[in-house]
Amino acid sequence: MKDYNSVVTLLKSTLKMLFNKIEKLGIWLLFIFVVYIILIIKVINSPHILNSILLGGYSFLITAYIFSRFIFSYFHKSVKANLEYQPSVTFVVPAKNEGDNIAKTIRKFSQVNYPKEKIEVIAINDGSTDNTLNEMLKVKEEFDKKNIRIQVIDFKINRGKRAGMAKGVYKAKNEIIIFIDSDSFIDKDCVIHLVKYFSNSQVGAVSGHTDVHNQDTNLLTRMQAVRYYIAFSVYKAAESLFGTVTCCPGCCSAYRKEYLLEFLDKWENQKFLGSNCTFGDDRSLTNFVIRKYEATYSPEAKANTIVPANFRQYLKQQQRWKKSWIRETLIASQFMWKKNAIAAVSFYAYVILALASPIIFFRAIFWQPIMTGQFPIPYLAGLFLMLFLHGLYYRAKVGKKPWVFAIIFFWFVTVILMWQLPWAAVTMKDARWGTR
Amino acid sequence: MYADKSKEKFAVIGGIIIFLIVGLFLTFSFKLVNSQSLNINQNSITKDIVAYFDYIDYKSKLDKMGSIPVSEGSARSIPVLLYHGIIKEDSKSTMDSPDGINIPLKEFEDHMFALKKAGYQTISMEDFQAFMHDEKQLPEKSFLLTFDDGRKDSYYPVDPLLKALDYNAVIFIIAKYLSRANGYYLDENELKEMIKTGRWEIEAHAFDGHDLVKISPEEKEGHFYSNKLWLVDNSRYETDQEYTERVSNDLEKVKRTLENMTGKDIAAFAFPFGDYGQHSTNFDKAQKIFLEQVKNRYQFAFYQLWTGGGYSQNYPSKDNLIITRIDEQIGLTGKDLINILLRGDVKNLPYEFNPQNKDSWIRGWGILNKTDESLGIGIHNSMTYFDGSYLWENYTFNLFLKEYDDSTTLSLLARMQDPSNELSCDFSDDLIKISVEKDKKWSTLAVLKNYVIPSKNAALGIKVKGDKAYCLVNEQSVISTSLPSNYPRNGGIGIKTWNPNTNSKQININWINIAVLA
Repeated sequence: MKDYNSVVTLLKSTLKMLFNKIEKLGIWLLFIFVVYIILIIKVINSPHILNSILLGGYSFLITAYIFSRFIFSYFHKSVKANLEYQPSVTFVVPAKNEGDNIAKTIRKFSQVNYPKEKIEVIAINDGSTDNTLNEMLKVKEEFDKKNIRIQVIDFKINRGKRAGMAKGVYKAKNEIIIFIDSDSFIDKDCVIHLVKYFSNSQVGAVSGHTDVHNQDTNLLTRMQAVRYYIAFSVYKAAESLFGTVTCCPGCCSAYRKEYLLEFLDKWENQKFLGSNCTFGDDRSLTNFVIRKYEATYSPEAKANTIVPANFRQYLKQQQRWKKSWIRETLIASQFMWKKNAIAAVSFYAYVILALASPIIFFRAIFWQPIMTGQFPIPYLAGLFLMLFLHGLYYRAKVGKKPWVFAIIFFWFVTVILMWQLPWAAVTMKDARWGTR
Repeated sequence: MYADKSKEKFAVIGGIIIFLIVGLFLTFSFKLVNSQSLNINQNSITKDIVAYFDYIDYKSKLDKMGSIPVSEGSARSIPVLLYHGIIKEDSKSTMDSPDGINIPLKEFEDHMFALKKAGYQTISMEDFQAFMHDEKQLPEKSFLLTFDDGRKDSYYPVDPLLKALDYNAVIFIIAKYLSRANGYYLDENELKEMIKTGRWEIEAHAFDGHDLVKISPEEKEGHFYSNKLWLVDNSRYETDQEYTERVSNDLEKVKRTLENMTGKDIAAFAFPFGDYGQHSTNFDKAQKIFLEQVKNRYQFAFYQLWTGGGYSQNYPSKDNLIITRIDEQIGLTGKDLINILLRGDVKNLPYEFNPQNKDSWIRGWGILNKTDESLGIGIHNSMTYFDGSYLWENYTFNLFLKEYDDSTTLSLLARMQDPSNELSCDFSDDLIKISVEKDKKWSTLAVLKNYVIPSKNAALGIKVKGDKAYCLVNEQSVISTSLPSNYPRNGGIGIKTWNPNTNSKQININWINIAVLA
C-alpha cells in the first residue's frame, strides 16, 4: 500500500512536470504567434504607414527595436561564478527616514554567501527625522558581535543622496562598492554574482536583477513587478550584450571603487541647466563609467525593492526618472556613437522612439480621429499586442502570477505615462523630489 | 561582448525567424490572394506581394512556352482589343461576375498568352498615332490593348500579366471617379502608380458622360452624349445649344482633368458604350454635333465594333477620327481571338475562295452558311463582306453560280468602306445596274435593261479601275460608269441579296475569284 502510494505520488509529480513543460512550450508558441500577428498587422497597415515618413519610420523602428531586445537578451551570456576571484566589497547604504526598512536591509548583508572578512558596511543617515539612526546603530551592535566591519555615518542635516553615496565611497576600504537602496533587500548569492564580472578589468559597473518586494500589495505594484522584470531581463540584458548598460540602478548595483574615484567629485557636484542634479544619481554614475569602461547586467544577482503602492507616488517617481533620463541621455548621446555599432544604433533608436512616441500617440488618438473620423483601433491594438508580448515573456519566465491584469493595467498606464516625457522636459528645472 | 554565440541559440532564433518569414509569405500568398479583390483599396503591400507572386507564375509559364516567333513584315492594319473588368474567379467579393462585359481572368490569361505565343506585341498610343498618320512602320503582329472605364479590376489582376509578357495597355478613364475613395474605380494615386510602371497610358472616357440620363417625358434613361436631356423640372427637352454645350463641357472637363493629373496631352477618347449616336437617339443632329465636338479636342475616338459592323482593324489615313475595336466576348478562347485577328488582316490579291480563308467572310445581316466548298447566302435579305479587303484598289471580283435564280437580286459590292458605303452591281431578272450607297442613301449611276443572264453556269462580276466601274457577265463587261470624283479609290468586297420571298432558301457560291488589275 505504501509502495502503491509512492508510485502514485511519483506518477503525479512526473505528470505535473510534464504538464508544466507542455504549458511552457505552449506559452512560447503563443509568444511566437503574437509576434506573427504583430507582423501581419504591420504588413496590412503598411500603406497608411508609408504615407508618412514619420509614422512609417516610427512603426518600423519600434517593431525592430522591441524584437531586437528580445533576441539580444536571448543571446546574453552570464559569466560563471569564479571562486578564485573574491574581491573585498563595501556595501554603501544611504538612507533618509527609512526607519521601517533600514534594519532589514542591512541585516541581509550579514547573511550573504561571501567571506565575512571581505565585507564592509557603510550606512549613512542623511539627516533623518525619524528613528533611522537608532535602527542603524542597533544593527551596528549586532554586526560588531558577528565581527562584520560596519560604520554608521550621521549627517546632522540632509545633504542629499549623492553626498551620502560619495561619502560612502570615500570612506570605503574595499575594492568593490555595492550600492543598496535603503528599501531594497539582497539575496544570499547576490554578492558572488555581482563581483564575478569584475575579474574583467574593463568592467566598471554591474547591475543586479531587482524584483518587486511588495508585488502582492495591489494592481499597481503587480504591474511594476512585470515592468521591473522585463526592464532587467530583456532590456538591460540586451544592453549588457555590448557592455553598455545605461543605468545600473541604485537599488542594487556594484561599482569598482578605483574607477569611481576618477570622477566622484565631478559626479557629486554635477550641474545641469545651472542647477545641482539631485536625482538620477544611478543613471548619472553609470554614464560616467561607460564613457571609459563597461557596464553589465548580472541576472543571477537578485535583490528585491519596495515600489510605490499608490498612484500619486508612482507618478512622482516616474517623473524624476524621466527627468534624469532626459539629462543623462543628452550626455550619453555625446559619446555613445564611439561604442559598439549595434549598441550605438540601439541607443539612438531608443532616443528617437521615446521622443516620437508622444507625437505618434497624439496623432493616433486625437488628430486622426478628429480629422478623419477613424477610431485608432490599429494603433491601440498594436500597443496592446506589444505589451501582451512582454506579458507572455513574463508568464513563460516567471510563472503563474496574475499577469494578465498586470498587462492590461500596464497598457493603461503606458498611455498615461507617455505624456511624462514631454512634461518632464518642460519641468526639467524643477529639481524637487516631491514626496516619496 | 557578453554574448553566448553557441550554435544552439543561433539555431533557435534562426529557426523562429525563418518560421515567421515563411508563415508571413504563406499567409499573404494564399489567404490574401483569395480575398484580393476585397482588399483592393486598403492594402498596397498585400497587392504588391500578390502581384509579385502572379508575375513569377506568369513568367515561368512564359519561359516554359519556348521560343516566340518574331514577325518580320510590317503591319498594314492594326487591331485594337477592348476589355473592361477582369474577374478573378475565386474572388468572393460582390464585384461583377463574368457577364460578357467582364471576363474571367482565366480567359484573359488565355487570350494574352495566345497572342504572345503567336508573336503579337502591344504598341503604345504614340506608335498607334504615328501608324495611323502613315508616319511610322510597325511590326506585322502589332495590336493596341485597351480597357474602358478605369476600374480597379482592369489593373490589379492584369498588371502582373502585362509585366511578365512585356505588354502595355491604354486605359480610358471616367474622370469623375478619380477623387473619390471607392472600391471600384481607380483613384488618382493608383493612376499615377500605373503611369510610373510604364505599362499603362491614360486616355479619356467621360467625366459625367458615362451616366445614364433622362431622355424622354416618360423619363426613360439613355446615353448622356448621344441624346438630348429631358429637363424634368421644365418639362422640356434641352435646346440644340444646351445639348452642344453640355457635350462640349463634359468632353473638355475630362480632357482637362486628366491632362492636369498626368501632365501629358490627352489625345484619345473612347465613346461610352461605344455610342456616338449611330444606333438610336432622340436627336437627329446628335451624331454630327457630338463627333464635331470630339474632333475639336481629340485625334482619335474609339468605339467597339459589333459583329458585322465593318472591317475589324484600323488602316492608316490622314483624317481618321473613329477607331474600331474588337470587343471581347465571354467564352472566347485564345485561339478564337487569334482567328479573329487573322481574318481581319489585310489580304493580298489575287484571291480565290478556299476553306482556309472562308473565316474572313463576315455576316453583315441575314443568313450566311460557310462550308469548305461554298458560301451559302440567304436570298431574302442578306449581306456578307470580306474582312481585310479594305485596302484593295483596282480589281475584278467574279463569282460563279451553278444555278442562277432570276427572282433574286444579287449585288456584288466593291470599294466598300463599310456595310453602308459601297459600290454595287445589282443583277436581277431583266436589269443590271451600277449604284453607290452613301450612308444608307442610294444613287444609281448606270442601268442596263432587258439583259438576260444565263440560268446555268453563270459568272457574275464587278470591276473597279481608277474612276471607272464595270459590271461583268461571264467576265465580259456589260455596263460601265465613271465614279463620282469624291468616291474613294480603295475599298473591299461584299455580296448582298434581295428577294421578296421570306423563305430561308440560299444561293450557293462555289467559286470566287478576285484578280488584281495593273
